Amino acid sequence: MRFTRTRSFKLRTGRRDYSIIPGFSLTMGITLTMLSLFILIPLASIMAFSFELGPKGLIEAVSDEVVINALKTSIMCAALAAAVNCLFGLIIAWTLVRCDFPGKRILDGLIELPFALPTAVAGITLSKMYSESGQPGSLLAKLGITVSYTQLGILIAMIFIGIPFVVRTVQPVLSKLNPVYEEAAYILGAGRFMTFRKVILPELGPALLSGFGLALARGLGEYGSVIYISGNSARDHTQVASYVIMQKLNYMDYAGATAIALLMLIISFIMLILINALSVFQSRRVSNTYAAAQERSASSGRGARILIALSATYVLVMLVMPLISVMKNAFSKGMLFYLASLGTDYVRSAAGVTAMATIITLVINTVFGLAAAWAITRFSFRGKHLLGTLIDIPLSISPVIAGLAYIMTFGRLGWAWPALQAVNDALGTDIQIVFALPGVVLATVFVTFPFVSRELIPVLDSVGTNEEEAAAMMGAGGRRIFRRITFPHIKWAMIYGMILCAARAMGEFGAVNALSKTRGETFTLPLEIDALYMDGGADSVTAAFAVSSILVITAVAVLIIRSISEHMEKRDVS
Amino acid sequence: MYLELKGISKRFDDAKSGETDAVNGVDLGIEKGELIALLGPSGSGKTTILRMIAGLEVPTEGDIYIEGVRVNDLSPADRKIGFVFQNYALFRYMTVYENVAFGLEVMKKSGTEIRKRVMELLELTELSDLKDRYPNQLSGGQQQRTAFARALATQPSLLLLDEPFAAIDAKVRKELRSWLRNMIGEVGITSIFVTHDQEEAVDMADRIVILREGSVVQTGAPREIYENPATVFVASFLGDPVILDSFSGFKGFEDINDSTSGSRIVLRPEHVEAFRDDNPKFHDLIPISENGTVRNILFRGDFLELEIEVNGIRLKCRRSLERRTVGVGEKMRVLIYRINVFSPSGAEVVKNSFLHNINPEFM
Repeated sequence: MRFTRTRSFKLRTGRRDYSIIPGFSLTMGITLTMLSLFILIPLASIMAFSFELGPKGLIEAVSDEVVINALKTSIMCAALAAAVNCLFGLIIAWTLVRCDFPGKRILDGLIELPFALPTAVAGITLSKMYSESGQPGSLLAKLGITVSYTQLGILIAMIFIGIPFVVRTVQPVLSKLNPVYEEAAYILGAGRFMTFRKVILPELGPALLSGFGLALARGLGEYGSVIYISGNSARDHTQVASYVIMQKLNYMDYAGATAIALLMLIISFIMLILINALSVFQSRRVSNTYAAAQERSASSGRGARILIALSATYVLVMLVMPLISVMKNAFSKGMLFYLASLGTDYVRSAAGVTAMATIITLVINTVFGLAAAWAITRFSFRGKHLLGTLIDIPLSISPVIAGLAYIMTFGRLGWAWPALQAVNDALGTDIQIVFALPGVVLATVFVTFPFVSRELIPVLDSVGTNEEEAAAMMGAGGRRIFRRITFPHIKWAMIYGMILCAARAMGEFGAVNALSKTRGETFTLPLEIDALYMDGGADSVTAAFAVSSILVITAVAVLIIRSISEHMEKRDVS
Repeated sequence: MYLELKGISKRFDDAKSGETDAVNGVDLGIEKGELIALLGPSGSGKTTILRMIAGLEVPTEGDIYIEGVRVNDLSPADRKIGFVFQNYALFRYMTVYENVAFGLEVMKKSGTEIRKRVMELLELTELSDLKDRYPNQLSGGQQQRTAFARALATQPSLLLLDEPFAAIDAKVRKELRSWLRNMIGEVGITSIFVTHDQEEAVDMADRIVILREGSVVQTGAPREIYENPATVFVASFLGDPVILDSFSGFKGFEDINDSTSGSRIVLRPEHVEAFRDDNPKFHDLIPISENGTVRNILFRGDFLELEIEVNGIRLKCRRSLERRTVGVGEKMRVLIYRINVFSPSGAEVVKNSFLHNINPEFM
């Protein structure tokens, strides 16, 4: 398809600034359509249903003591976990930027483990590790500390999944921070601590806050990694909000589930808006203090060694130990048992479902990611910040709510149910979405929706539009510009985004759990792991770890590829 | 007229961006083969005008004509324009050869035709040996030459250059300036370049268009503008003059009516002569010169700049390093050749009346 140039060139001065780069309507159209279909309309279904309940019904459902306690537990543990991660996240980010030591790239790569490791795997591992039979668990038990099935357990799980958020928001700001300000402070006689407190901390403040916000949002909505280690007992206040929603879904209490979901959605939206406002504020105030690719000498000495030791220990205890624990448990009954557990019909079916959902998700989210990144970075238009915020929604809401959203859209109570039935009647088919394969795919798409676009947007922003403008001026069309000019720049970021998306898709648990009920038909690998683990028998628990080991190996492979693709990108740029 | 702008205006909606410069009703005509400089400080609208000519921005009002045809609705690619971007915007993932060939590929030229044209241009810009290099392996000057060759590849009839020397070290700038001027002359292409550097504009352009706050202040040949600046702004933009609010009691300038309020006087250092009483060369001029005291001496590299106080006013003048040394506090005689007077009624050049009558050889 090739447009004749003169015809496709129209004056558009009203709603957006004019740009010579083609593709605005196309990419914007794709972005908005997909965003509406996969994210906004399902979420709107939750809201629509909760309005039907009326304010009285809503308040009644939410003011149940069990619900209030669960929300309290979720908020308290998530806030505490985010705070712990702020402290250690800052230390790790500092170590990664300012210190040089062997194994730095490995440490850097490991940070992203919680993104790549399926939450259910993390959940059963943490639960096993911190139970009285596990390694740190038995040690802590001797000290009289019980972790498993207490709020402390919830806290540890939330710390685990929140680590990357603070590190990854602080790290880039720190590495771009112009050293002249610190040098100026030193010259004026300020000591290390004073320089840090007065000069560096204010610069990092917004990044720290937005990292805190992201970690908090993730913790609030977390399901998979929390439910095994928490006791899920209403009496002990060890139920988290996502668990209560899932329970209500299991009991078909849709009104109750929707009411809690609405409340959590509102909290998430407020936090998202705050985080985005913060990053806009930050970019306005701090951007001109950035130095272009600063070469700085690595700090050394005792202080640096302490920081490196702290960071390494934190990562080792919080991230590496669970990995080892999975592998140890997987092989605890020998190689034969391991292979046998992988060969069951259930596991094979689950692997097939997982592969299918992952591949479809990957295609959808890559198309969306490319379109959204192009529309957002290549054009300026009204509502750009809002669009960016909307795309990030799936990152900050509970996967269980994602599942609920599709149930409220396509399920028996959903507004699309009659339409779906009408189509089935007309065509003589029996297409089901909820509790069927399409639902599993949709849930997976929802949860990983922004993964590709999030990798592409910063790269395209930093590359700038100069080259594309130059090519468009010479008459090159959109496809040629993309293929020859843009694609080489984003190649590695796209590969990395796709891999992360695939890893996350394979490991998705909460959303799929809400939408898939038939073992051996619509179960994915994480659901199969859950089923095996919950069975409780020693053999099936070991089998659960055996299946988990596949996902762990994938996660580690993802981290290695990420490390390589980042390296290649840096090499290409310099 | 080859290119004509008629009543071009550009307004930007978003209030937040302070960097974008608006344009207010600019009229401009450019003859075929001319080399034009759009000169002005940042925010004067010069880049916006260039981008509107190229078709990268759409004017809010007004029309642009190329060879009598209104091109407002024509895409940049159809305007037959070559554009050299400020930081060259070379395609980082393409070699020098591929960069130059890109525009021809878009035009779907045959392989042999492309090769011939690209090699021809690489020969012209002396880049043949570097054709397989990537942009980040080139020096600033080589990048500029690549950008120039790429812009010329499609044989445009108008070449636009946005701050072509901004990304180049001060040291090699002068050298590249004459290279670019000669190259444009050799190719014989009508060209417009944007700059904030008056020296660059004076050095290269056939004609300079001076802009301020989105409007054209003055247009003319460099010498013409230098000698007859239309406003204080222009006078102060070209060169390094002293600007005074009042100027009275100077010999030879008795006619200046200082009472006109709002009038300002511009005095260029090169129009001020300072000499010692005992200098025989200037002996005749002592009666028409003023007494001054040296207040400051600055070494400017290839000359000295003296600040001399005369009648309570500080003037600047230049002094060759070959002349006798002077010291701060020393008395000197000061002679002013000419001044520029700007009053609400207009601009005028006032020459020293004594000098004009008595001793024309000093003019």
